Amino acid sequence: MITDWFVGLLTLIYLGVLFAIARFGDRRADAGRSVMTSTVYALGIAVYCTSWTFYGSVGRATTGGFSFLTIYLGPTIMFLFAAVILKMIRISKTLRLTSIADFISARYGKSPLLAGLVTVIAVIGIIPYIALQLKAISYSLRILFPDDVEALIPDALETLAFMPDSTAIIAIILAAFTIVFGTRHLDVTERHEGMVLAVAFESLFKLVAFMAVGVYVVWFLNDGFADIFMRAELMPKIETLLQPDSVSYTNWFSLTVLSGLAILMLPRQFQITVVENVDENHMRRAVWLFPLYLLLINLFVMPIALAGMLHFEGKPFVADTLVLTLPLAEGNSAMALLAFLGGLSAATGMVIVETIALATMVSNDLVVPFLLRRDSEFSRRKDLSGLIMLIRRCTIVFLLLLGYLYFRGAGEAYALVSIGLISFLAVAQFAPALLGGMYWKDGNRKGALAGLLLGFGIWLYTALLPSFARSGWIDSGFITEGPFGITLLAAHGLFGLTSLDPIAHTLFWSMFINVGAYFAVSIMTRQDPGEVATANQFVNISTSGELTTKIWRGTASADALVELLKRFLGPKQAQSRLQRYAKSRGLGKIANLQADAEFVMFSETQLAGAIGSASAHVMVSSVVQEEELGLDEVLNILDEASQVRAHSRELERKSAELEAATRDLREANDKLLELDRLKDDFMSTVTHELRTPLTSIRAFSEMLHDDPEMPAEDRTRFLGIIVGEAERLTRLINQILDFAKLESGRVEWAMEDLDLRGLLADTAESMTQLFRERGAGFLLDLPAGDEPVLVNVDRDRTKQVFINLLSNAVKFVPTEAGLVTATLRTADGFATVAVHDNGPGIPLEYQSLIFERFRQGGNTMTDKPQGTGLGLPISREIVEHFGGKLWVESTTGEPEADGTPGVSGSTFYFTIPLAQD
Amino acid sequence: MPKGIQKSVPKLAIVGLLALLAFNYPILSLFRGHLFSIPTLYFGLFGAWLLVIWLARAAADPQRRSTPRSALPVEETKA
Repeated sequence: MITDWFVGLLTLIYLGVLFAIARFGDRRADAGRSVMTSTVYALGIAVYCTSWTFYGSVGRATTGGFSFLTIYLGPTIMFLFAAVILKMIRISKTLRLTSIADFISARYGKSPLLAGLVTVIAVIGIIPYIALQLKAISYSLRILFPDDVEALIPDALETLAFMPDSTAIIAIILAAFTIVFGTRHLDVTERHEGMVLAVAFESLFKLVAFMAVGVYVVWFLNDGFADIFMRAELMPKIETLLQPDSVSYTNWFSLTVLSGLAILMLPRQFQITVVENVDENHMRRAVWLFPLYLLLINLFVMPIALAGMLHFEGKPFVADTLVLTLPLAEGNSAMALLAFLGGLSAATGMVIVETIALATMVSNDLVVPFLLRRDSEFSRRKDLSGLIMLIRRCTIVFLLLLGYLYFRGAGEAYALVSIGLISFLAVAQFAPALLGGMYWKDGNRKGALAGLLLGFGIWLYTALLPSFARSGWIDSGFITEGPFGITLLAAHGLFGLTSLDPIAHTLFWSMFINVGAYFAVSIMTRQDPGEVATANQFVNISTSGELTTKIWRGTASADALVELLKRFLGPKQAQSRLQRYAKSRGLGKIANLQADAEFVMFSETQLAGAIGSASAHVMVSSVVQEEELGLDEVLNILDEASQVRAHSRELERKSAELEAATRDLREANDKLLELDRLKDDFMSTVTHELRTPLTSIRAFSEMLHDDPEMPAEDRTRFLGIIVGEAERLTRLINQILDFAKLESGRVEWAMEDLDLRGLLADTAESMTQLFRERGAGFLLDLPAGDEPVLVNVDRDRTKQVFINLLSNAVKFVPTEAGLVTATLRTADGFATVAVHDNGPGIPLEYQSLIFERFRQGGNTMTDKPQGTGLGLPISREIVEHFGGKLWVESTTGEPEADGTPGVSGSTFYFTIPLAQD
Repeated sequence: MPKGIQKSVPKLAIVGLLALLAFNYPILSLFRGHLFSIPTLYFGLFGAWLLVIWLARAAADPQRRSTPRSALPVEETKA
C-alpha cells in the first residue's frame, strides 16, 4: 500500500527536479548556450493540457462520447493557420509587448483603459481555472489517502495552528518557483528559458504518465482496444454514444472554434507561444509536434473511460478521477503514483505559466499605472526597478492566494468543476479586438472597448452567473425562466435561443454582440490621432518599418529620457542598453545621443518591456513635450508614406514601359535603316539601268548629228538601234512604275473566276511569233479532258506572269534545238504551271538572287543585260497576291559520276489556288 | 522574399482548411459502424488527425534526408 511519507517525498523530489531543470536552463541561457530548441518550444506550448485534460477528458468522454476531442482539434486547426501566430510574434517582438493586455492596448493607441479592462477580464476568467488546478491536486491526494487527507504533513506538525494544508504547501512551492524563475529579469521580453524548459519537461512527463496508464488499462487490465469497445457497447447507451449520430454538430463546431480561439487568447498560451518564442522558425516544428502531442495524450482517453465504466459498473464512481482510481482499485500503487505525479505535473505547469502571465498583466496594467497616477512619492523615486520587481512578485503571491481561496471557498461547487470551458469563453472575448486589430486598420479603441465590454457582459450573465447559480450561491430562476419571469432574457435561452447547449449559446451570443459592436462602433466613430500610427504598424508589421518615428513630433531632452530609463530599468541595465543603442546608431557615447524621434521611440519600447506599453507611453510623455498631432496631420503623414510607396511603384512601372518602348524603337530604327539601304541600292541600280540605254541612244544620236554625210544604210541601222534602246527604256520605266505600284499596294486588281486552261492557250498562241524568231520549239501540256481549271485571278496580270516566264525561257534556250515546255496540272487545291527550258541552267547560288530586283542570272558587268531584271520580282509579287508561290528548280548539267553528260535546264513553277465554287 | 516558416504558410493554411472540413459535419457523420470491433469514428478521428499532422510536417518542417549539409557550400563555390 502507498505510504504517506513516500508520496510526500516523491512530490518533493518531483518539485525539486523542476527547480533543478529550470536552474539548468537559466544557467545555460546565461552562458549563451540556449536550451530553447524548437522541440522545447513545442512541448512548452503543450502547457495547454492541464489537469483538466489529464483527469477531466476521461470524465467528459463517459458522458459526451468523442466530443471531448474538440478541445484539441480546435488548436490543431488553429496552428495550421500559422500566419496569425507568426504575425502576433512579429508584432510583439517589434514593440516588446509582453502580455495579451499589452498587445490589445498597444494596438489601440496604448490605451491604459483597454489594458486594464483586458486584465480584469483575464483575472476574473482565469483565477477559477487556477483554483481548479489546485483542486485537482487536493482531490488526487484525497483519493490516495481517503482516511487522512493531510497524510503528507507529519502529524506532529498538523497540530500547529498556522500549519497550512498540503495543497497550500504545493501552492507556496509553486509561488516560490514562479518568483525565482518567472521574475528573473524586470524586462519580461528577456525570456524565462529555465521556466520554459521545466514546463516542457512537465509536458513530457504528463504525456508519458497518461500513456503509461493507458497502456496499463488497455493491455494489462483488458485484452486490448477491441475487447474494451466490444464489452463496453453491451452497456446501455454506450453503443450509440460512440457513433457519429450522437454528436451534435453545432456544439461540436462551436467547441472547435472556441478552443481554437483559446489557444491564441489564453494568457499562458500567449506567454509561451508569443513572448517566450526565440525564433519564429521554431513554429516549423510546433505546427505539427504540438498537434501530435495532443493526439497522443488523447489516444487512450476513450478506452480508459470505457474500462472505468466497465470496472465500476453498477457501483457509484467519479468519472473525473478514473485515471487515478482505476490503477488504485486494481492495487497497482506504482501506476497510481505515476498517474498522481502526471496530474501534478499537468496542474503545476499550468499554474506556473498562467501566474507569470497574469502577474505581468496585473502589475503592468493595473498596479503600476495606479501608483504612477496616484502616488507622487512613487513617481519621484530614483530607482524604480527594484520596486516594480517587488510589485510583480507580490502579484504572483496574491494571484496564487486568490486561486487558493477560491478553491477553498468554492470547493465541490459546480462553478469550479465547469470552469474550463467558461474560462475559454472569457478569453475568447479578446479575439475580435485582437484579430480585428491585426488585420483591419480601421478598428478603433472605442470599438474594441464596446465589443469587449458587451461580450464580457454577455459572458458574465450567460456563463459565470449560471455556474454560480448551479452551485447554489444565487437563485437559479433566471437561467431558464429569465429574470422577473421574462423568458426572452433567460440566461441559457437568450432571445428565445434554446436549441444550443449552454457553451455554444454563450459563444454565439457573446461573439455575435462582441464582433458586431466592435465593427459597428469602429465604423461609426473616428480613430484618435494616436491610434492611427499603431494601427498601421500592426496591420502592416512586415512593411511599416520606421513609420512610427515619422508620426512623432515634439521636443525632448536626451538627459530626461536617459534618467527615465535608469529609473525604471535600473542604472546598470539602462546603461548597457543605451550603450548598445548608441553604438548601433554610430554615436559611440551615450552623451552624444540626440533626443530625436527615434530615441524617444527606443526609450518607450525599452520601457514597454518592463512596465507595459500603456504605462511606458504615459511615462515617456511625461518627460517630453510631444506636439499633439491632429488626426489630419497623422493621416497626411501616413498618406505621404503610402504615396511615396505608390509613387515608387508607379515609377518602376513607367521605367519598365520606357524600356519596352526603347526596345521597340530600336527595332523599328534598325528596320528603317535597312529599308533606307535597300532604297539607296534600288535607286543606284535603277539609275544605272536607265543610263545604259540612254548612253547608247545619245552616242548614236550624236554620231547622226555630227555626220550629215553618213551613208543611208548606216543611218537606218543606227536609228534602228536608237528606237530599240528607247523601247527598252520605256519598258524599263514601265516596269519600275509597275513594280513600285505593286510594292506599295496601289494596284487595282480586276479579280474574276476564269479558266486557266484557256488563258494559257491564248497566251501561248500570241507568243508563237517569238519562238519562231528564236528557232525554238514550244509545247503546251494541258491536263487531259476539257474540264476548266477555274482560278480567281486578274486576267492581264496572270497573262503577264506567264509571258514573263515564257520570254525568259526563250531567251536562254540554245539557238539550236531549243525547247520550251509549259505544263498545267492541278493538285491539292492548287493549279501548278511549270515552264521548262533546256537552257544552261541557273547555278544554285543564283537561284534565289534572280527573284531580287535588278538581279539577273550571269555576270551583269560583263554580259549584255538581256532584260530589265524586274520581270521575276514582279511576277512573284503577282503570284503571291493571288495566294500562290513562284519558284525555280534548275540543273546546270554537271556530268554525272559515271561520265554521262548531265542534262541542263530550268523549270519555273507557279501555283494559284483553285477557285472555290 | 519569404524565408523559413513564412514560405510554408500558404501550404499550411490549405491543410488547415482541409482539417476544418474533415473534423466537422458531414465528413464526420460518414464514420458509422465498426471496424475490427472498434467504432469506425475512433479510426476516422485519429486517422484524419494523424494525416493532418503528417501533411503539416511535410509542409512546414521537411526533414532533410541523409544529404550532408556540407555539400551545399561546395556547390556554391562551383557556381
